[in-house]
Amino acid sequence: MNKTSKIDIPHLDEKVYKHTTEEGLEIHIMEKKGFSKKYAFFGTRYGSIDNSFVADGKYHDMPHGIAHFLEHKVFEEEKGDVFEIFSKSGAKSNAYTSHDSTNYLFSCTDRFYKNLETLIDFVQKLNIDKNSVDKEKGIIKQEIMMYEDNPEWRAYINTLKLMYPEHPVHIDIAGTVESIKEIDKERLETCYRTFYSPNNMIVFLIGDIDRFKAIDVIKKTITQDFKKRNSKIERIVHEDLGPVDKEIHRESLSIASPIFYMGIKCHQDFEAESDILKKEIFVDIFLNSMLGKGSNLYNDLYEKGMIGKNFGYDYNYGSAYGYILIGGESEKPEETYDILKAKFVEFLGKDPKREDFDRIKKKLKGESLIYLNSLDYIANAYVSAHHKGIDFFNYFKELEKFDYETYASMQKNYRIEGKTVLSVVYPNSGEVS
Amino acid sequence: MFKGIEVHELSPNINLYTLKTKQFKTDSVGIFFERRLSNEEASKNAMLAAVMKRGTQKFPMTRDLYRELDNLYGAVYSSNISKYGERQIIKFQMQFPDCNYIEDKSIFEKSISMLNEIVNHPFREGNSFSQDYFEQEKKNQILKLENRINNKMAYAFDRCIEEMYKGEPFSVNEDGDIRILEELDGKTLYDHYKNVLKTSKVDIFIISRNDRNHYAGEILRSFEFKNQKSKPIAREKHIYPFVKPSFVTEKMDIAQGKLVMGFRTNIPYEDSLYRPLLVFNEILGGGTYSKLFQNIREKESLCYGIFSTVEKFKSALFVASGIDFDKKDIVVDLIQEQVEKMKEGFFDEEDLENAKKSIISSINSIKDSPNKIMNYYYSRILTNSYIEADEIIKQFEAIDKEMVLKAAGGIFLDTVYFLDEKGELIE
Repeated sequence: MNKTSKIDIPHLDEKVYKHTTEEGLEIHIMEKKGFSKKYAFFGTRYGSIDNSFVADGKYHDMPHGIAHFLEHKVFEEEKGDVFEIFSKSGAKSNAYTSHDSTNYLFSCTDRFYKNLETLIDFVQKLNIDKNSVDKEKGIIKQEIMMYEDNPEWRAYINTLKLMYPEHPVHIDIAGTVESIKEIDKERLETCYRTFYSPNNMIVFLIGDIDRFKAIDVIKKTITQDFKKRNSKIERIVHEDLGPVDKEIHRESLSIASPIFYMGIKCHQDFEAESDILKKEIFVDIFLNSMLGKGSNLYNDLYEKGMIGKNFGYDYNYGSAYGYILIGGESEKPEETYDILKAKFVEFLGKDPKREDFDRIKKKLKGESLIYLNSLDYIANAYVSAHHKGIDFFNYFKELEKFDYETYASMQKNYRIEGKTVLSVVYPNSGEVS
Repeated sequence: MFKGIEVHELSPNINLYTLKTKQFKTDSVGIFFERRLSNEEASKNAMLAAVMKRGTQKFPMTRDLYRELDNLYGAVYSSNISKYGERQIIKFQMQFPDCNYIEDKSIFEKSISMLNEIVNHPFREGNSFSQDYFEQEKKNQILKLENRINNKMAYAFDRCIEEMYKGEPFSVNEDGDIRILEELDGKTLYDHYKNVLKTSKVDIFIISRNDRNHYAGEILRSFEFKNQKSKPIAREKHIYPFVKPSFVTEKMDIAQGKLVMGFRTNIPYEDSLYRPLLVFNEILGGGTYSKLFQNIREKESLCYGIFSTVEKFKSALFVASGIDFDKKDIVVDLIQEQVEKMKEGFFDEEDLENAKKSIISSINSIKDSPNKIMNYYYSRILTNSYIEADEIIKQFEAIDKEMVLKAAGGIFLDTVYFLDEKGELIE
């Protein structure tokens, strides 16, 4: 405790310094010389899936969207607005809530340590009253309505509802217009005191930064009240392992052509970080070789007009959930889904081609170098991985080691039967008048 | 020229800009063809960017083209079009890992020669682009235009511009026009391609860790450009007489109304008041501490997102927000009130300093991203503005309240576009 360790990633020419304070707050610093912008994140492992929990012996079941609501309120200060304080120092501030975490951040080119102090200071405090909570409901209602009009978001959230009817990952991160009515000052304070504690949080800094100075600023800004908050959190995990029950969901919006997402439920059932990463690398190689622009299937579907320009795929996972998402625009979404399903089964039964494996591995290595140009990308990905118990750079280390034999055996043992779902948003009429 | 950037005139109207920097783990190349934005040509240029992703003489099949890129360590190739005022730019770009980080030491040469293959030897059948590729891309391009309504906010923004610039080239959609696309064929497009190669001003950018002389030489060796017979593109109309605002409402089956307000500023980018205008915009709606965000979101809870932005080439300022349908009139009044109050000087020294800091910070961070560097300098070349970034920062630092008020003096509301709900149909 209270010491710094250095982690080198020699083949990428990067290093990260990790420091843990006596209270258990982790501070990770990545030095990037020569960049103008500096980013700081202060995040807690508390997201939309943490609605039910036991804290200090008491069971709580919170309204949907409360983690996100809390994110909005933490920004409020006694003396005025956090946005204003950052703005005065030339910094841009923001925050976001995901399934598993809430993160507060700023970026700036100047006065970094002053801004760092502001960030650490405001996240440690919650100043709310009934009035300010009620006022926020109007703003969040508009945020929810904005997503109602977004067809990709609708298709995405419906995929989650099909795959995980029990697990809270299916809940809209912002909640619903109805559920946020249940949110009040007391509930917000309970969640805040439970999850905004040193051992549940991380500070991540990236840029041309003096790490000694930064650690010093953080330690000086941490309050006694914050240090004392070390409640034992017991998250209620809603296991949702079975095959999918309802496979297809359809709805309609004012759009011109259908938008679909195919979901493949792939639950993470291992504990070790290296196993989780191997699975991630397997899925990345698998999806790229099946559906990348260099694949037969992609080209076949594209030429037949079954998929369009915005076709894409992704893999995501967290506590007791994991899923592959494939989708975009399609004139015949249900037919496309059937073809994809059949081709997946066919592909998984075969031995992979070694040349495809080599080609995709090269591609993944090159892509990671492109991503590492962006501090913004690194910061988001690093913090997001950390909240899932993963060291971001271990992905690259595992990728170097990942060989054809490992891949081939994983592909042979992978099954998708009973795990796939389809969500489509059809045009209802779409015309403008 | 710009500090750190060297310019080489490869031949008349073809310039190469090179930047050597150790900051990135990748090398980036961009080739930009400048075209006049017009309704006749926009669809063709958009189609070129699409069809030229599909295959080359050496790699006729799309699959094989992308497999080759995978083998170049996932080199990212993109071709697309962007609108800069009344110009349409066809951009071919490639980013790939620098040879210091991978085993392949000749990746630069291979990637340059690949980009040359894509730009100069697209797959064709005789004197036409491949009919199959052409038809598939044409269908997708038409779909893209039809799908404009999927993103309601972007759609409302486009519609406001179309209304505000009716009959002017600026109202042309850079993705083309469905009726014109339907008339096109692979032969016409190939003729157009030949013409673009001959008559465009071309600017090439390279950002790399490596020795400049080496890659300038490489470009000269691999790229087959002739002298360009291009005519300079005229400056777009940007001064407009005062008129009463027009209100346009359209209806769609949606959950939230989308409001876009178009103002004219009559401040050209060549004018010394242009930078003060940017400061005005930053205070008004540039971020979370702006007047619009603080008053309409934080104080009145009327919206989640609201922002303002300046259109450089046409001297316009836009405000956009998503709101409840029945709050439209209230929000329109509040936005106008905020604009008017600012014009009257209701902002303090601190607002001014914050806005300047925010803009200066954005300028400083351009050098953190190869894409930002290319786009920033390209925009500067298009506007014939060759002042150093340091000098621009100094100019921003010197801006005072009086200059901001002078810049804002002529701002007036021209168009209010609202995307409204359909509501119940009454027979």
